[in-house]
Amino acid sequence: MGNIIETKSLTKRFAAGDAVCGLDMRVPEGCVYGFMGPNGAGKTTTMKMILGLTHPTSGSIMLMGEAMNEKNRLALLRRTGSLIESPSCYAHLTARENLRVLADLKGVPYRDIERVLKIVGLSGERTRRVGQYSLGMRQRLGIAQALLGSPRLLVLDEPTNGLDPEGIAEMRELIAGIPKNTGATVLISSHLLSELQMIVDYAGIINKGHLLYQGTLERLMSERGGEIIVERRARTLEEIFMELIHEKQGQQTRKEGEA
Amino acid sequence: MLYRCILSENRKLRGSVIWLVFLLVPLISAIYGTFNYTQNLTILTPGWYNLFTQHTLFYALFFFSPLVGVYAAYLWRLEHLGHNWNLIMTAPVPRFDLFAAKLVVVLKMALLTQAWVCALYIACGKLWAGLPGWPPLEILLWMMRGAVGAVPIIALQLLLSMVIRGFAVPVMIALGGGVAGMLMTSNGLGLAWPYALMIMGMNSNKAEDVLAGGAGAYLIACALFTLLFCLIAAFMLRRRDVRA
Repeated sequence: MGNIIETKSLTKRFAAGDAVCGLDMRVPEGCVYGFMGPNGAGKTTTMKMILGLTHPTSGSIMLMGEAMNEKNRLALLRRTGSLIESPSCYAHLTARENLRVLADLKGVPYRDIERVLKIVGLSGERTRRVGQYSLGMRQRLGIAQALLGSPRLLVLDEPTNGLDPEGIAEMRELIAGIPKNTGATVLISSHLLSELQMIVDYAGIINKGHLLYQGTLERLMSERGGEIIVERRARTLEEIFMELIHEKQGQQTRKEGEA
Repeated sequence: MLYRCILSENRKLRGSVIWLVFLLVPLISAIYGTFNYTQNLTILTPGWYNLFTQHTLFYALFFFSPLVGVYAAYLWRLEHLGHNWNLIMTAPVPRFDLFAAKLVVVLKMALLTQAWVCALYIACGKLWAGLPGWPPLEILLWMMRGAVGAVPIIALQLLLSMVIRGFAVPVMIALGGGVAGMLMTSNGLGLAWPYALMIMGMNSNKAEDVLAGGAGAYLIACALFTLLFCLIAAFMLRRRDVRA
């Protein structure tokens, strides 16, 4: 199984400092890859660089085996769906009209709109103005936009943001089913680690722009869960995540102290 | 791909409040102009030419640039709100096509506005001012020339509204630009100021042709300003990171 996303020494420097530092990310095709990190860790910046929304300071990005550059940009975006920061929509238009706007831009036939509306469970609400939608419905519309045109890669940034527990559970079910139902690979970021734990195959943990862990969720849990037997209780991904973040922070502080 | 972008822009305008602005602003301008004409018949020679001077006095000098500014600001506002920059900039279309499509759509709206202004001018002349016959064909030419002069204003307003996220600031710049255009035109510097080009093309507030013999320079100025603003927009769309 090849990697659908591969970054090499990917770096983004802002005036305030480095947002992403030398990131070597590898997302295997056909999986759900959970991209985790605290606020300001560099998740959104990385995703925006992958989609060409933000220009890397240095490093390279390969998507589907091709370099993400000006020459390949359009061909790669044609095979990619995304939801970044929060769902994008035109509030005065209905869900169907919103999807038609995007179908026009993507050159996708209008019949695909009914398919994606069905997948996200908005078929019955397609003629309602999006301005009247709840946040959960907007998130679903955002997923429908990402699914339009049957992309090979879905990049979803915090798709469960602001949802109530019921909405989160629905979204989890929806996203978990995407690789099986559509064959697409999903790169998803979220703060809700317990939710991610239930749907991801691979995990990447980022903090202060540095990738702390990358690999299967199984490996992460087994490597870090050695104490499970000693403590006689199962450790959640959240506990492992916090441990990893604090461990690296401690190492960094020691290095700075020594320097 | 440009055609697909235009389709998408047109769809965004469906059921939009902008059409109300499109109908009302020229109507207000026509009412002002005709009222001014009928109240000053002691100093104006009655006829279609002088009705035109009074209509364009308000429309071209004070209303047109802000109106185009509103159209441009509205189209970009749709992207500034709701993280829509992320949506359009991840669409598989050349970045500049997004700008060019907005240019085409605002130009279409400006042409419709010119047609609406023309219809109001004829209606006010026949039904309110009671003018005999029909307006001279020359006036139709001035209206079309005004539409050409609108293109650089549209490109500039789209550029400003793309960069400035607020709605009111670009519209105020357009209002100031239009007023300054009037001063530049009266000082013979109209060709050097984009907001003055439409005023000159429309022959605003003048009964004699201000562009007589100078149509070539006028068209070149329109083309150069439009090209300049489009190049700046293309550069910014390509080089800047997207902020949704």
